[in-house]
Amino acid sequence: MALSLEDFTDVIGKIRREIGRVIVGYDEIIDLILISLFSGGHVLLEGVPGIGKTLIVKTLSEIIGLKFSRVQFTPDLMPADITGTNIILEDEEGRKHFKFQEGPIFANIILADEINRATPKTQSALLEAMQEGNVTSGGKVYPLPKPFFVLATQNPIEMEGTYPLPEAELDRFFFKLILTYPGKEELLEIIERTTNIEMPTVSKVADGKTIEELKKIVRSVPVSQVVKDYAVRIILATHPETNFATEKVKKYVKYGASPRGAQALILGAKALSLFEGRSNVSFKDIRNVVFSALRHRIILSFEGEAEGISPDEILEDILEKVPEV
Amino acid sequence: MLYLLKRKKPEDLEVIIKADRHFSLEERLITFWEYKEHQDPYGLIERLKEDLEERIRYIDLRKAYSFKPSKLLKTMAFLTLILLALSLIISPPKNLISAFNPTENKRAYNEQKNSLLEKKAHLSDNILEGEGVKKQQVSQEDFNKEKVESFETPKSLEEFLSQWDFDKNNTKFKESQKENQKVEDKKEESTAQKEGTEKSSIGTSNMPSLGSVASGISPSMEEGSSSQGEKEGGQTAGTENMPIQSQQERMTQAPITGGKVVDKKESSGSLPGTEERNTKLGEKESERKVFSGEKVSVPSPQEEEKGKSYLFQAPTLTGERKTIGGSVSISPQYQEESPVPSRILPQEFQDILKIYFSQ
Repeated sequence: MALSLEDFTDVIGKIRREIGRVIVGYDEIIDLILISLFSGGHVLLEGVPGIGKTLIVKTLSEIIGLKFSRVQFTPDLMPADITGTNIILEDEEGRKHFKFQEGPIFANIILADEINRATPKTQSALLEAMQEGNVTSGGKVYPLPKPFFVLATQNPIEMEGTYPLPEAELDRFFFKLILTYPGKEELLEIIERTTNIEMPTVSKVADGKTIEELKKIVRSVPVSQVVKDYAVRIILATHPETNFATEKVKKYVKYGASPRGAQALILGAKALSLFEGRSNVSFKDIRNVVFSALRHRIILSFEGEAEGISPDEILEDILEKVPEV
Repeated sequence: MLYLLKRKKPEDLEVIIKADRHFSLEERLITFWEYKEHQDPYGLIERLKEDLEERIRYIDLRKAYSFKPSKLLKTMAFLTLILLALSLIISPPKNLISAFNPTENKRAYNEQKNSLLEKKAHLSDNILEGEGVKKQQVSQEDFNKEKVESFETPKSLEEFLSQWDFDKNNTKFKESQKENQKVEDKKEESTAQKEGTEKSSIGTSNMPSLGSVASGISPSMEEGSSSQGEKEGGQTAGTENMPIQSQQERMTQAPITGGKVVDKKESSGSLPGTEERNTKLGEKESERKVFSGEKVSVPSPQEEEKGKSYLFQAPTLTGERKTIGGSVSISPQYQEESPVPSRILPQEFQDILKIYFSQ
């Protein structure tokens, strides 16, 4: 069954409405999470505790009727605890054999809570799953269910006993979203909804197949050459060694965005254009996803770190300096 | 036609990008332009086309691309301007020359003016001839003579002088002098009357008016005070109804008392200075004494160079301080100096002195 653009708009509208019943505010964050979901990417959510990161992921999994699993990342967590391991089983005849016991990663939506508390070894267990969509154990490759969507969270304030994510791991996240505290109105609404006897519930509006089909529609959105050229120039502008780099980039950036960043820019812009009811990508779509797609892909130099420069400042400068045409 | 031929033809892509921006099409046009042949199973291109058609239905895409002349057209226009400027410099029009040459322009104007005047004179001659008026030949000298005679000649020196615009102080001074003269005349007259008849009123003869006195004392007083003096003087003389006389009349006539001209011949006695003058004041120009002779300056600059010489050299005392033992004496002694034997006196002065002492 081939879905049309109208179906996409309809499903998106339903998902938004259902999430809105549980989650107060964060409309932009929810849209970006959905964009990432429909683009086939993963999201790294950064925010202080208690602002609803886990609730967003849980609600989303309920709405789209997908298998959801949560992994609490701790320092003693091992890779096998995530991916799974081979265990010895004895059959009826008494023969023993290895059987792969799937880990929590074998789900559609994975919540990797406080991912930066696990060791890099454990964090690296997600690399193959996130990029390839499968897990290798005992020389055997186990494909992960589709859609496969990882939502990792990390706490920016409690840095003791944490392991910052390696660049390779970070680069595998489609978007990095930063959650801030809700405002007054939103807080009042949260209290109203969550302190009564009846808790808000959501209903399933889509399934895995629909999500996979919608992902194809996203990838079919046409992008003109000039828009692609603009996205590429933005990516190249993050590289301090190129002619496209701005003065700020040359001074404060050590490594720029990888080709995955360009992919994220284009795919994110495609999904965003559909979210906005258009069937083509514009320069504005590119600009709107630049921060989410590239902020975690820019590695600052020593000078940048010392002067407290944030990647968002670098990206602002790039958007200002790089012309559209 | 040239515009159409030489107009820079823009590339399709450039026009489309500009149109996208100009009409806020959000890159729909360029995307559709690139993907118009593309087939997609989700109907995205079709949707894009419909969306685009809806947006550009009421707009003129030509407005997005403004006129831009090509390089060839710019070069041609530049060359044309240069050639035009050169042609103006090499052979400018006559009107342009006259506009930049004021003397030539003025000469041409005068010529034109003269020719017009001649034409007009010719026309008026013809009209007069037609009316039967005879033409008279008048020379320039005769014309000038006639013109000069027609001017009014002054009757007297005072009248002539009154035509001049003296400076204020000078005029006041002269007026005050005249007033003094008048006061003196009145005094003389009153004295003569007193001596002669001894019946005239004392108030009119022995009470000189304040104004007259004031004007006599201070000739440099302001015009107002002097006029006041005149008025008061008139009142003391009992001339209340006397008509205001002009400056000329006052200067030419004898002093008036009580509205009548005083007969000086009858009233004047044997007092010196009261006799009647041969000529009345202001009628004839008085003789002026002209001092002629060598100017003597004492000391003269030349003599100063040679050595100082004086008319008189007063005897002077030369002091001599006597010192005793290097200390200064308190009471210096003086010796009388003998007068200078030679006295330089100019010849003219010597003559004057001789004449003086001879008398």
